[in-house]
Amino acid sequence: MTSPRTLQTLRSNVWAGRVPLDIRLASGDCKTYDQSDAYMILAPRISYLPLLLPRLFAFFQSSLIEPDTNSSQGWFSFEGIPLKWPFPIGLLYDLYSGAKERLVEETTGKEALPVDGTTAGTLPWRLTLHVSGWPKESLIPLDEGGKILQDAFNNSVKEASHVRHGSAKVIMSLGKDATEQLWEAVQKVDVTLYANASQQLVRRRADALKHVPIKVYLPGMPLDSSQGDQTPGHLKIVLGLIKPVLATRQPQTLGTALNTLIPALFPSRRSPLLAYPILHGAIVPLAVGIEELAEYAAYADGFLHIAIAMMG
Amino acid sequence: MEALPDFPHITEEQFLDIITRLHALCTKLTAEELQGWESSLVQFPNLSPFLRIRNFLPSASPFQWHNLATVPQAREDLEAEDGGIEELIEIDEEAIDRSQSAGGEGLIRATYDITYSPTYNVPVLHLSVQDASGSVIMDLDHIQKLFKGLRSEMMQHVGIVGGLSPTYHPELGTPIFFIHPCLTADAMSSLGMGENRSDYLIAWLGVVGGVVGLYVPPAVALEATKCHS
Repeated sequence: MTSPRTLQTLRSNVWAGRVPLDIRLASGDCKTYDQSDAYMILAPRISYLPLLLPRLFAFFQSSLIEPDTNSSQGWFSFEGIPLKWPFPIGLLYDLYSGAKERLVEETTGKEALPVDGTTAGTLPWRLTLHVSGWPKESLIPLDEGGKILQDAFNNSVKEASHVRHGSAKVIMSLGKDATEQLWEAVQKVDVTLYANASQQLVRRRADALKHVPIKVYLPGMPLDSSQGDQTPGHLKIVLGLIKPVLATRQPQTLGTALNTLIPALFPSRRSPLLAYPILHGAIVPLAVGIEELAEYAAYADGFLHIAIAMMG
Repeated sequence: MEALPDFPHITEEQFLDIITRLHALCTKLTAEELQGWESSLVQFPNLSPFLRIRNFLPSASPFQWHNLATVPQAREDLEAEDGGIEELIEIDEEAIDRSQSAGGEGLIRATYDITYSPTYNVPVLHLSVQDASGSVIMDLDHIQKLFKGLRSEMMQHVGIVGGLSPTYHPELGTPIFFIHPCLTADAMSSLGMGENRSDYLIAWLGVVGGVVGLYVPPAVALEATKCHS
């Protein structure tokens, strides 16, 4: 059983986690065409790309062909794929930056790496900022007041709470303050504020945890005409109701959970044979207890957003 | 087993069964009985199946709604009174003006996708409305204006099941609106019907469909409840 102190440190490390971004303006929006300056930032993993827009617009103001564009028109792409802004930055990085592939190469045969907040040896993830031509068939539009982003976050929090408690009652009874506080914690990247707010949302002494909020993101499938109207970079997201404890009364581990959700990729509950689970940039050992993982290593919305990297 | 033991919750297997039944039922009805509904079962490789219903919405103005549905009747009534016909023509012209300023389209295509939520264990209703050029309208104000023209009591449903939010289609990944399922189970518990495979979806549509203009045609409801033995 891991000590509470270690778990608190884990959560602080998760919130301290940063990913290096190199953001340049799209040539079509830039006065200097493809000679845009680069905005370099260590972006918080638990944050969201649209929260970067105001400072990016300020930075690129003098280079914009249309300087009066509102920052809510800003969107990001990586290698031509529009990035879905409701996904936390850390998840997007784990899924698309190429880091997980490098991690698998380095790791094969070794023990899993611990979660830590440094980014030593990692390459900046090169993103393009667009301020026009919103891709309506791929991205939900944003509003000038930032309400759509906050609503999307709140919906995710609601869903995670529902999964935990088996009903919407807990979150509905909390009222606006607790959810506002959670969003404020995200905007300020303040783990203490977050811990206070989530105290009310996560398992209370009286209620046992019903299910663990987990979403697993499978590697993209090749896009062909038989896939119908899917957008580029679309992933299969696997959800399911995972109990904290197995029928045998043993605690549920990440391995048993993945074996239940995607047995084809995780045929063994103990050893990764075909794929690795990536959370906050690290490979998580399958033996980790899922209840503790969910409580201390979840993203701000309460979910464990796990990217899957295929071996070899 | 016909009865749904976990009502108002359903399993994925039960969901697949009930959407298959509803679609099969629709294929047996005439276009007139279906009142514009076109149903299809959508399943791409590696994706979970869902039910798609396409329909037309009369656009914004209540006058247009009248214009489309009741003018022939009104004309007959008014012919019996003096001066009635001129009044009717005036309404028509206004409706035409309104229609043209709204983009010239009298009818708008709405697509409703019914998917399964593995976390809430209920169906989820997704809506996409396309404008004249075929792109999906993702502006909530615009959508709400479209529905305002249909019936004002529709917006009262919002309090029962929650309003529309934008999301990504769970199978296709495209931007779309949906009705958040968090209150669905509670709303269905108080219905007093829908506890069987044959009428669950009809009951669910009664609760959730009203917010977004998806009404069950009487012939469909009749056929569905007839199956319940």
